[in-house]
Amino acid sequence: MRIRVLMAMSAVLSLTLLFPASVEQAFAQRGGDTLHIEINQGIIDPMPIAIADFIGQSPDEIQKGQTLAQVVTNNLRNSGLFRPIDPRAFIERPNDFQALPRFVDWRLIDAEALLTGQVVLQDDGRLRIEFRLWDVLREQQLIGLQYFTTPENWRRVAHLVSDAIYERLTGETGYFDTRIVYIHESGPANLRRKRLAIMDQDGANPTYLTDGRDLVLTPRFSPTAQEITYLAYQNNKPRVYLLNIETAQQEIVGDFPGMTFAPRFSPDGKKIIMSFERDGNSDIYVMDLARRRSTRLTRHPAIDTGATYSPDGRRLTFESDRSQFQQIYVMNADGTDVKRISFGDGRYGTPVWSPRGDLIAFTKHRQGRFYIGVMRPDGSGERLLTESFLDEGPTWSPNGRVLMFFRQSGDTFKLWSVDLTGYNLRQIPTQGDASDPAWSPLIK
Amino acid sequence: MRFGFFISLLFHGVILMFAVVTLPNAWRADDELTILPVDLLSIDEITNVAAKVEKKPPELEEIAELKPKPVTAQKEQQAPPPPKVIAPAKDALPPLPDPKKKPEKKPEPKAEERTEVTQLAKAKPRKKPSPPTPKRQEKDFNLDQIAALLDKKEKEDPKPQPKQEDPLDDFLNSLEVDEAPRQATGLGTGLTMSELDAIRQHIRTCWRVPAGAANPEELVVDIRIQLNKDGTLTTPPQVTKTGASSFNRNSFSQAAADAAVRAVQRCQPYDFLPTDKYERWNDITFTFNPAPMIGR
Repeated sequence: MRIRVLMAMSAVLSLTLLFPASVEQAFAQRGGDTLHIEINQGIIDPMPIAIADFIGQSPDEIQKGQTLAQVVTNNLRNSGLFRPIDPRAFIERPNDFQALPRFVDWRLIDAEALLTGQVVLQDDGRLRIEFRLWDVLREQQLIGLQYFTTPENWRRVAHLVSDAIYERLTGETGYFDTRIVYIHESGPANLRRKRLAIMDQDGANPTYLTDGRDLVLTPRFSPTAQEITYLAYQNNKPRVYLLNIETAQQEIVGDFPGMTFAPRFSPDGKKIIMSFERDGNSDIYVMDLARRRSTRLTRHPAIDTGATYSPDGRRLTFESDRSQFQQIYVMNADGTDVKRISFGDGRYGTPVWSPRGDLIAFTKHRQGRFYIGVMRPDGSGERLLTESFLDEGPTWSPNGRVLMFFRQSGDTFKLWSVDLTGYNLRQIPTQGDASDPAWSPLIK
Repeated sequence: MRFGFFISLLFHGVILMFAVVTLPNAWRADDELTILPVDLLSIDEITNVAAKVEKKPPELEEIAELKPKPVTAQKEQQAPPPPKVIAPAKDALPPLPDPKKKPEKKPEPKAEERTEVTQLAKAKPRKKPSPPTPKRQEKDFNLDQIAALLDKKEKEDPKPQPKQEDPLDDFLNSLEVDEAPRQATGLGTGLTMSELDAIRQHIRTCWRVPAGAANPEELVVDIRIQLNKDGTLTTPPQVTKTGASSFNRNSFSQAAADAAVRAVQRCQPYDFLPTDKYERWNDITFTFNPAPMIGR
């Protein structure tokens, strides 16, 4: 008995003596020779980047090299995250793509990154465009790629180069190699002609997709980028259509007895969600494109419309006036668990789920002013990014960092884009009036 | 009875262990706060001044004067070599031919604006002179080592003294020996609040906050730098920790690490730091955390 007690006591004692030693060691290691300093404040200025004209030998190559550099410059500047340095400040003029830049010269003009490139028109008639992105401070190449393409496709390569730079320096996927489909408007107010048009995200290469005989509204891209769904009034009857951009083939999505509108693709491109109105009541339906079968998702005497999917396809957001005024709601993709998420002062509409899934963009109307804003899917963190007499119809860039929308000022409608931070509001150049933009995914 | 005794014994044991484990921690709470030691050390500094300043500074100053000149020359020559690592393009572009690049880079610092790339590329002999530069460096490092050795000697001195058994002597020695607290810089920052703030403020102006990621914790980066006495970097900054682990490293964490490295490089030289405290700021680890800036 005594022996047992003694053993137990010795065990307890040895534990108490040993354990502190290990604790001691653990704490002793916490120290170290290095001085620890946490930095949680910095600057949000755009990064200064030097973009040299792409090197070429023949006059044609030289000319292409200059315009390529210009397109890349505009893309990066418009993103708001980069500040291209005026080429007139350059000390070195790169003339050999294989030579290392004189980094000292680039540091002197405060460049943190440098882009050098080369354009070669090959014997086989193809254009070879190659570039290197340099970290000027570390004197390292960050990325170097080359592209082969037909000479007339140089502009797309400029967008691809911009995307590669954007991704390497910010970590985000780029959005420059994308297109915008929108409604081109012309003519007097009482005889407005609305045509479906498509252009590069920077406003270049505008092309009309419809002839303007029918009124078209709310175009939306398919995730495959080859198809657009939109609303058109044919014979004064509104219908949801599907248009293949490459083949220009057009078809009606389901022939319902009432009116269908506000269509949008599901993230996998296999379904279209839209509103169906009959006897003054509109509800949300989803149609399986392969089987052409539609399912009703909401059943409420109020107006439910403007539905979009979350990127994972499991949730939906839509607008409804079931609580007297127009507000934003979310629900499961099968129509269950409906929750209102907008509770601010004013009316909320046109909700669009971000491709990253973290935010929902919307249009807000309060006291005669319109705003484009974002909030989290649970309704928290509402932020208003723009304000004007009429801002409407936000659409997300594929990386979820930029919103495009249309703005009315006076009698004109123009497309505008704004960064998620609310800085960097800019107008997109279009010929004539433009409204209802829809941003494509990255072109594959 | 027996059962009660064992329960009591067990409880006492547990309480004893709990006390032993938690109490030291309670006393050690300060260790975890990296900023607090600053005040303590600044006090040390004041109390130590008289005894120390007279003995050591002359030696340190000599070293200091020698150092800046060779170091700046080296640093510029050193800097080019790291860039030799021209990462080859993943997909297509081959890396630039090494032999040509090296000569280009090294001459640049010597005649920055005048030299032309092609001429320098031919100047291969200049490659060879560049290796000697590391040798010079070594000399400098030797000086550092000598200084470090001197420090050690002084550190060693107090140790024999405590061996003396007389407690009064020990106490007196501890009062006399200024080196003891002064050398214990590893446990705290050794810099005053305003000096730390100056570093923070300085880095702030150079750090371009990463644009953002779905998970802001992926953007947290630790960068370790080692500095010469003139405030320039001795070696390229090291990324010691990133927010993303090695298997889920992504473009966000890479861009965040790059931004942090650019910040510490762009901010050099850190010549506003007091040279007499060189040993306290010659090795700094910055934790760059953009979460408060991007508001998530």
